[in-house]
Amino acid sequence: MGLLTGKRVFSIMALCMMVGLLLLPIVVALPSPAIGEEAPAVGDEAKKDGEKVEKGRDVYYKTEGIVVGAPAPKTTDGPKDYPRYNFESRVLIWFANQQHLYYGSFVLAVPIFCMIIEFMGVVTKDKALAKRYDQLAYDFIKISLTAYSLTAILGGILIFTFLTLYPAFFSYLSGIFRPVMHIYALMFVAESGTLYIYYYGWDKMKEGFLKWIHLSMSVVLNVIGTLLMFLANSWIGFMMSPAGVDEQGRFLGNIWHVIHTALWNPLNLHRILGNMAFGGGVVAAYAAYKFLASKTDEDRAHYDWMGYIAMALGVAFLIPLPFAGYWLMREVYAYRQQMGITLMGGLLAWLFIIQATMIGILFLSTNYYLWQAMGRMRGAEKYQRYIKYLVFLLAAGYIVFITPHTMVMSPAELKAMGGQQHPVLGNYGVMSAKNGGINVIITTTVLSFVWYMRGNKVSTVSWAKFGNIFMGVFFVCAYINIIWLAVYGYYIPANVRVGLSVPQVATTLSCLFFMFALNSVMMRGAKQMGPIEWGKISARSQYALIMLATAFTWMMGLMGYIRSSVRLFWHVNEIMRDNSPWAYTHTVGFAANMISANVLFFWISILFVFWLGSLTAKKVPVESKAGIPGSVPQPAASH
Amino acid sequence: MSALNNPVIAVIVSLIIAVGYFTLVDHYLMDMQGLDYCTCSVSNHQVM
Repeated sequence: MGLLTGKRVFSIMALCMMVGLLLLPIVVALPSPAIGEEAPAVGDEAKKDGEKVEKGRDVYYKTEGIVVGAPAPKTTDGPKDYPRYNFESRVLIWFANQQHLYYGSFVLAVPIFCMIIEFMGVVTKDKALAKRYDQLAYDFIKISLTAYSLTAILGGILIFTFLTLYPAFFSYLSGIFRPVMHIYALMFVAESGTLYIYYYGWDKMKEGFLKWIHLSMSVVLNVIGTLLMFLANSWIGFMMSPAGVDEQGRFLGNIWHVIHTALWNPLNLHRILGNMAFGGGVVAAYAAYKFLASKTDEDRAHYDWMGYIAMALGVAFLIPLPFAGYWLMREVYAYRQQMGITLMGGLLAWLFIIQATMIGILFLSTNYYLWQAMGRMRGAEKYQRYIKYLVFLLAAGYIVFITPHTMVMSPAELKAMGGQQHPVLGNYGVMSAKNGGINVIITTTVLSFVWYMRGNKVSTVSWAKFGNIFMGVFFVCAYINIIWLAVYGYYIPANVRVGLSVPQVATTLSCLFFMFALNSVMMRGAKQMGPIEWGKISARSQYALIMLATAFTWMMGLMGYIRSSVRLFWHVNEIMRDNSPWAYTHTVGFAANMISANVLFFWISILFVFWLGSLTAKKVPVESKAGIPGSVPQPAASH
Repeated sequence: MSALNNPVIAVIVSLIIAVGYFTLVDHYLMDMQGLDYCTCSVSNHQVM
């Protein structure tokens, strides 16, 4: 009893310490508004000394402030500002940045999964199932822990690469962000401390009140991780849409203006969702690999289940991702219309066609996996004959979604076609059609999920027949509404047409929320046609998971490149010019090769991380397996 | 509830709810953006 009380006290102290670590940077930061408050002080002193106080106007907020920073350096191409090896410096910084970002995204996303799964384990009443959830969460964090060290190493490499190859730029950026640089470092310390206590305290805090404390630690861990990411996002936000400085790039004393730029919040949302989808994809690929390498039915069942959970979590964040992307683009256009045009209709537009292709592949892979997964439940055969219609909808939406507006052609081809725009296909290369295409794809994915969730069940509620008919009619009307809005867009002025994307998105989200909710109500107490036979799934489905993860990785690399390239020849947009010999936009082919090389390196290195993790594999407790009836465990009878 | 389980009635009721809902969504969300849903101009043919 005394030992238990001691553990409780110790765990509460540990939790308090973590919260303290979380708050520490804020406490330390209190003097940092000091930078903001220093300004008047500097002004007062200057007045006393009879010196002239120089004021500047914020380039974004348009407020006046006293200049407290140095102007952005005007660099020249030479060893002073751009020291180099006999290699393109931009490629080196690109590689270092991308690898750090991949690992950073992974280690920020996985603890969030862990928190969700651990919570599911705590609240579930089935003890065997709770243990399996707990084991799964532990498996997740174990993978993340090894990757965490690599993230820190890559972060170090990135800083040294900046210092070595872009000293003038890095010096300016770190000067602007000086008040929050140490906060970032302290947050990193807090993250590491919390992660290690969380991981190593797993077995000590596995039951009762202590488990809740442990779960609370995961919340603190994720809050720290998210804040870390927000801070890092403020740097790229500043580079794209600077604020808090005057037109010469001089800091005006308000660090919040520097952080809270026009694109900061859209970037934050987009990155959280992107990281989660990416993390889900990587864990699903890990599970798929383990599934394919499994020798026993039991292992296959475990990794099949793990892959499904990771995929479901990843896709849950993938579905709203395009909408977050729309918001980001909308803010880009609002900030600088020219920047938006460069992205969507100019220099970088072809990269968006590739992006559309990748998004389509993600959704096609997800749907394919779900259809394959229906094979492991008895009763789901009733949906098999309808899958061909879903394939048609997906293929039609996909083809429209990837159709380019104009083609790159030779003069002879141009003459033969009668212009840059194809007389028929060119009509599908516009936003009206593309919005329709992607919304059809997402709605179809929602429908596949609904079918999967009710695959082996028959509703027993008295209004089941009406419920089924209502769901069918609602989906049909949703498709009609999406396609109708896409067609209607061709006949109205451009400014009104842009607004049609909002009801289109609302239609898709209505299907997602209402149909999932209705399905859950209908399936409460439903009759089961048979258990979900985990592990009894085709190998093809596992390759779909690997495809999903690779497509995520490739798309992240692509989008990072697009976002960064839109600054063109600026280090900091319209403030600090890039005068290095590499201040030009690469060809699409070179960029694609570079992205592929980054993806390849990431996957080779993460396989190494997985291998390291397997060396210390913690076996599932025997009792948790033995307690489950059937030839293979059935960990998630309900979804 | 038994009347609702009649397929014909169920389809009609579902259609009324779904069509009404999506019409409302289309008009309300366009109005919310300060845009007129019923602006129709064939001369402004798709250029975006």
